Amino acid sequence: MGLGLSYSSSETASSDFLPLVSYNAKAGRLKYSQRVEVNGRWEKQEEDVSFQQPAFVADMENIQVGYLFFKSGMAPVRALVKIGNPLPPVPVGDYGVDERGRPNQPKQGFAMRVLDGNRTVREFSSNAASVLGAIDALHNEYEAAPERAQGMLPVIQFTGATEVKNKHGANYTPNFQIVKWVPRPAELPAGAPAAAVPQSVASAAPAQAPSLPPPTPQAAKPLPF
Amino acid sequence: MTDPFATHGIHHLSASSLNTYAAQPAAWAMSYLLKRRLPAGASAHRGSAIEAGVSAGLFDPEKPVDDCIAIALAEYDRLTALSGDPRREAQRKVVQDTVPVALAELRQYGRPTPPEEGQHQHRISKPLGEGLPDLVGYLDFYWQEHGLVLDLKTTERVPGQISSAHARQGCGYVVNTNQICRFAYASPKKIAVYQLENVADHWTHMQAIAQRLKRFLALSADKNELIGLLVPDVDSFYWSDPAAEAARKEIYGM
Repeated sequence: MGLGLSYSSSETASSDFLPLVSYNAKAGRLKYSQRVEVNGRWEKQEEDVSFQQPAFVADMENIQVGYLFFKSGMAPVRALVKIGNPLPPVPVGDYGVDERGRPNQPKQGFAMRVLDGNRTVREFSSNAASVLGAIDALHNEYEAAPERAQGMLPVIQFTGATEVKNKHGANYTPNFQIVKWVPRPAELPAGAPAAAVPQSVASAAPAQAPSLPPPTPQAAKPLPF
Repeated sequence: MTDPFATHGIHHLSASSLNTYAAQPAAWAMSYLLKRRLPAGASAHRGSAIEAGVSAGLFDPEKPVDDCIAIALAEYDRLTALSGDPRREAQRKVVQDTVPVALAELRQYGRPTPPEEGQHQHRISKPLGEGLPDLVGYLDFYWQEHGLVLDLKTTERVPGQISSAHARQGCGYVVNTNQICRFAYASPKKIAVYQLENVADHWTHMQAIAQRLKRFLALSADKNELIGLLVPDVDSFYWSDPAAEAARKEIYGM
């Protein structure tokens, strides 16, 4: 079954504080991010993991679908329900205007809990069409797989990005694939009973690479064109 | 219609070739049309030597810095064994002092991704456009886990930003990919690592240079006729090596 996307603000608040997985379709990059307390202040830490080709257990059974709106400087707007339920109404509000002067609106999206190779539960959410398409295809595969009937969850791996050009410019579609199936890990509780921790998940992710140092700021300079 | 590049035996282009054509067409014609390669001056050898030392230290993170300096100096001495450049000795000191500065910064990035077995460098080849040869280049350093290509430039004075010529060089490494390119400018005293922005715009510029080069080559199948259209800028650094200056005078008479 496809994701049948649409939503409302009925989901739990606790998921707002999970470390995140995010995908930037304009850049084709996958990032892990979390908020950490530094000297009494909360700061966002980000790590680009695109080229580590990370793998994670995806709780596709409990994937949430609906409407999402992200804008820098404001809290995300979320209207989500568990997949299989009727989609909620589109949240109504003043979300500003886009670069063409048209009113912004929440877009169809999803949110899904995943367990990364370091055994950290994260939330992966997006309302980018290219990501939705990729997750929809994975979900179809999940639904058709015999392992699903056994209560198992897929381990999906990010294997890169493919450039897609359209009238709005170039975007990068994420490439995901199911690389194995594991019993539902304890870190992703659901209706199914907790199972032994899938040791293979930790080994699916490569060793932590050093984080990329920031570049030196450049002097302002007009472009030569 | 005959391909002007093929007519003149040019089967691929490089960032260096296109940048030379943009900056000093007379030097380009001597190198790439007459195949009279301009001798590399001590500054160019300095860059190769420092890269050898830095490369040794990056691929072997435990290697003592002094050993990396020794590798760089040995490479410099080998490359400049027949150099007539009066700055040879001065540049040797630059090599010695720059390697530790570069390593201190770049070792933070971790061990680079090695090239394929049997290769010394990662080779890239990008189509420049219809009717143009491919752009071929080699990466100094590549970190797959960061999606990062880094080009090491050595200098006696660190610039405040990436030059246009370097930007054109770097754009070819990452255009049409989701990777990023940085330039590390290392001097004996400091290093700056700048990230290349506006990749697509620089790439468009590169394609335009290639198109104009094609039109220039189409003017004649006679190399000497093309040479006769050009005037060297005798003050340009392209002619700073004594051997390059001599070749210029031989070919252009000035």
